[in-house]
Amino acid sequence: MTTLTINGKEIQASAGMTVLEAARQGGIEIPTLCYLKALGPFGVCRLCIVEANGPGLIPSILPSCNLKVFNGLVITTDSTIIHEMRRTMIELLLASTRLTESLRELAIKFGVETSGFTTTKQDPCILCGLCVRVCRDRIGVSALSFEGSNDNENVVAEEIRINKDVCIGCGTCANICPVQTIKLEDTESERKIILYGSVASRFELIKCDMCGVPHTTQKFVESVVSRLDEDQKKGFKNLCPECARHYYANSMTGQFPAIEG
Amino acid sequence: MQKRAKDGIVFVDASLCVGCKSCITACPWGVPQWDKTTGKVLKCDYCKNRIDKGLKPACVTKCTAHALKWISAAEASELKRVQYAREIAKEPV
Repeated sequence: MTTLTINGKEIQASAGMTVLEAARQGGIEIPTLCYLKALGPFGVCRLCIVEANGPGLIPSILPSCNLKVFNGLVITTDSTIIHEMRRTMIELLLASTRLTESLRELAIKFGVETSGFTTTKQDPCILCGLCVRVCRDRIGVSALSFEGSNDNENVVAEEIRINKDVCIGCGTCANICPVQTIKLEDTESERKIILYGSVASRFELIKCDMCGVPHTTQKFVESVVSRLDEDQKKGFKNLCPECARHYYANSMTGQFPAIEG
Repeated sequence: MQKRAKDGIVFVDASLCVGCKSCITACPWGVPQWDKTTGKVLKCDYCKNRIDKGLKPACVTKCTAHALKWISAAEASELKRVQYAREIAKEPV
């Protein structure tokens, strides 16, 4: 166990925890846009910055998502300087994206009414990188990447791009996107992944062998099956979740016949 | 999706679920369910918080017909053996 102080309150945290996790556990809210526990720290939105002081540490302003707890660490999450810096971050975000509900709420919370910066960007993407990271680190596909234009000398990410030959159409990026820049649209027979308002990849939806309802993409099924062991692979059936329940309940009890397609 | 070592209960830690739906496609029993409102997967965890407090799952506690029971695998097989034996012996259960 590690003991640290956050906003004057003594907090017990397990070793290896980040300041952000310890604060949340202690009921202290720190705003974030790019943090997700499943993906770990990334530190790009800079909204989770805190003042940090303690043994062996020069008093600094650091992102709490990336700072591990240690004994005697003293953290301030809501000082005037932190508040001011967060306001600037929000102003920059407001200037670099089209306004969305999550950003509007954040701006209202921090009293930001206008932005002193100007931009021509028209999409709501905040380049938080959740989609890029989930595709690479969790799905293991790396179909999404940060891209910049050719004249971008400083190699700063300007947008997200999908490699449609690699994409398996699982839609996790759309599910995780906090500003709905990536969307998933399923029609009768087709799945579309929409990025920045235009179709970035298309997939034919495969149909459930029992009821005929389109439920997922072939490439996604192949990706899931490749992660199963040999016995599970043998037993794998192309069924929608509803039919899977009926099929196996029926094979055990004979009391749950299949739904007619 | 995780499995508790102490009793084998499989459950979803919602803070770690990214909503890839792999478990939904993989599960031969069709058990994991998609929660549209949260963008995460739901699964029965036998009310593990109640189990830890020595209580029964909520469904068992509130079942008006007492049709649901919370018993161990050993008790379940014992129950089944007795039921079949009575059926064969034409004895009312």
